[in-house]
Amino acid sequence: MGLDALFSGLALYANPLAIAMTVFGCFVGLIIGVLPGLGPLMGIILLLPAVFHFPPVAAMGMLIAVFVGGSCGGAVSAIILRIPGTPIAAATLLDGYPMAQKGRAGDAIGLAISSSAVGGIIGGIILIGFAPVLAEFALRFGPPEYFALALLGLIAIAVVGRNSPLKGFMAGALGLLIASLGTDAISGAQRFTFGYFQLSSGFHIVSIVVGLFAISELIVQIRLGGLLDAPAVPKVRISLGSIVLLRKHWFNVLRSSGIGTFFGALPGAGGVISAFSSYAVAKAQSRPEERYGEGAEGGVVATEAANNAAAGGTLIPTMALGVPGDASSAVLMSAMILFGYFPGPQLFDQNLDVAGGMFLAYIVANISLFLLGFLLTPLFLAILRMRRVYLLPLVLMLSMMGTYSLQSSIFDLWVMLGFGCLGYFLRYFGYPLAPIIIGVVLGPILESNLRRSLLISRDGLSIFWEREISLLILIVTAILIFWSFFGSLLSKKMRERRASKAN
Amino acid sequence: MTGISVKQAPQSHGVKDGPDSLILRLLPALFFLSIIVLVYYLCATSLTEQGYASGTPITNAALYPRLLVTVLLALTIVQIIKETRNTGTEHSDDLGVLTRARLIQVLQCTCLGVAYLTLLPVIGYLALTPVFVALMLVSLGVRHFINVVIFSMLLTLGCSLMFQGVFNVNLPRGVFGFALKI
Repeated sequence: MGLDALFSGLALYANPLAIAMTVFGCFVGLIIGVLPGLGPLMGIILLLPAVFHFPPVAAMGMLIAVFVGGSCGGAVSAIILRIPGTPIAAATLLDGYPMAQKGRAGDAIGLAISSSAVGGIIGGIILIGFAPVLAEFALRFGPPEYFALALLGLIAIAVVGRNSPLKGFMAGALGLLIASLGTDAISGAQRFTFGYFQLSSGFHIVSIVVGLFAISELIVQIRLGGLLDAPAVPKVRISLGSIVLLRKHWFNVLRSSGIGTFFGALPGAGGVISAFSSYAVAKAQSRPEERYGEGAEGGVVATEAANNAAAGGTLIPTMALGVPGDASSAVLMSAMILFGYFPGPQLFDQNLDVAGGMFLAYIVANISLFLLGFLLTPLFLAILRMRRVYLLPLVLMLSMMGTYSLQSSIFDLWVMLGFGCLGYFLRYFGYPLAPIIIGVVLGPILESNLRRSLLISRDGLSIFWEREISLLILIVTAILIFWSFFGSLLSKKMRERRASKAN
Repeated sequence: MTGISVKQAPQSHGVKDGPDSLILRLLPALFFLSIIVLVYYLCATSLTEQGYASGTPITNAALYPRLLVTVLLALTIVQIIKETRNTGTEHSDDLGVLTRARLIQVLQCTCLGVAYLTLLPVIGYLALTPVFVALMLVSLGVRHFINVVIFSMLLTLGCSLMFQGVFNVNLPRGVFGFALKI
């Protein structure tokens, strides 16, 4: 079925505009990934308002390419400056920076780019093979299963994040509430609109996303200071020999890509956990003379192959089940919905060509990553030398005009600004923002399936545990909730017991 | 996406980072409580008046929001208990030290943003944006006059060309009716 999707996707994707937009998206993703503090999510958000002026598959290809490029770009600043451009590149600096200190920055960047591209392609192959199968399995899902699945996706994002799970749950609930604002799609009631016609269709998701992430990040960047500093970036000549070096690490690439795809596919886990897990496995399997942590090539290969493969993994539940794995894929999913394509089994059933086009875009994005990465590294290093003070107005204007361009509405800009302030407020108090977006995206799915289930049931909530798949998903959800509240307590008690036994 | 601390400012003259007093730490809980109260109130008034606050799951548009705010209320109460026991501030984002100068910059830029959105429909994009960008650069510490002027003009024209020229977006013209003819 994966091949069927690819062939039917060719008709939509094989045109100069779609391919050019994918290459451009990868270029933008790399640049945004390189810049410290920004990442693939910010790249997707900045381009999101613009993509609605293009055909759907070309536009989705561009956003996917930003995701791919942004997942790799952070490695450059991690290796050169010891500042990961994105959190997912944090593991890369463990060996990338020591390699640069030993005068092998070119090799480190070359290895990072080539292993990212290969890891991304392996992740893509798993995506193409697995997503349609999962979607076919999900064809037997009814409203109770979709409700349980959406709930699991939301809970997983809230639990797995590094913030307090309780705050994650609260943020997720806030996202669900925001999504319930406007005209109720089922009954037609006006919910929480205060009589304002602008609110009758709710807040535009792009205004929410841009505000929460882009505007709050600008405030954080001003707060962090150092905007006028120009980082001292050495001249680096990237070595094509690193492609040959990569051959020595073929097993590491395969293993790390597998780990990356697996963790990417788990909602909430994503690139950071993938990168650190594959690094830990690679280090455990290494010979002592490889000296991980002191500039081992294998360390860079493991983390970069994993974090780009995770991008493919993240798209598996997003496309096959309609459950986004992280905030970036939630934004991608919302873009698909705005284009009129609902992720899940119906995407593969009714719009196989669109799914196939997205698969192709993902593969082309990884090939572009390889070519652009090698050709344009001097440009990325030049961008690293740029003072961030000029970046802030640029991001702000792109965010504002992009949001305005959606509906030519100043109201959307006020919404964006309001969510920007809310985003900063919540970040200041340690509340994660990703569950809000997941809540906003999953809210309508969760609500409609809950209400449909209750209508089918005629017997209250029993429908959720009378059906095997729904019951199974709810048990996993309950375990996750239990673990989030009592997991640390249990592990603390176990440590204490072990310590008392040792004494 | 989290803000990665690029450079820490000196500790002196800085407002202590992170929410340290109980009242401050309870602010988000108060925010959530106010939303909960508002949703309960609107379900009891607006949705009831519309006739959508009861009945079957299809007609009862208040069912789901009520369920959500009930869960949120329970979570908020647990969070308040955690905060009062001083265990609720773990894992805050690393936002660096907020010095007085940076606080002023944050406030200046926020006020500039509010002023920009207020004046945008009146003055128009082309006339207002260069001034806004220039003021923002100055408030962020750029003192090189020519750089400020060139950057703000280029950014304004670049955005205008992209959104108006490529995407056919009708940018606000204001009372002066300024627009780029492409």
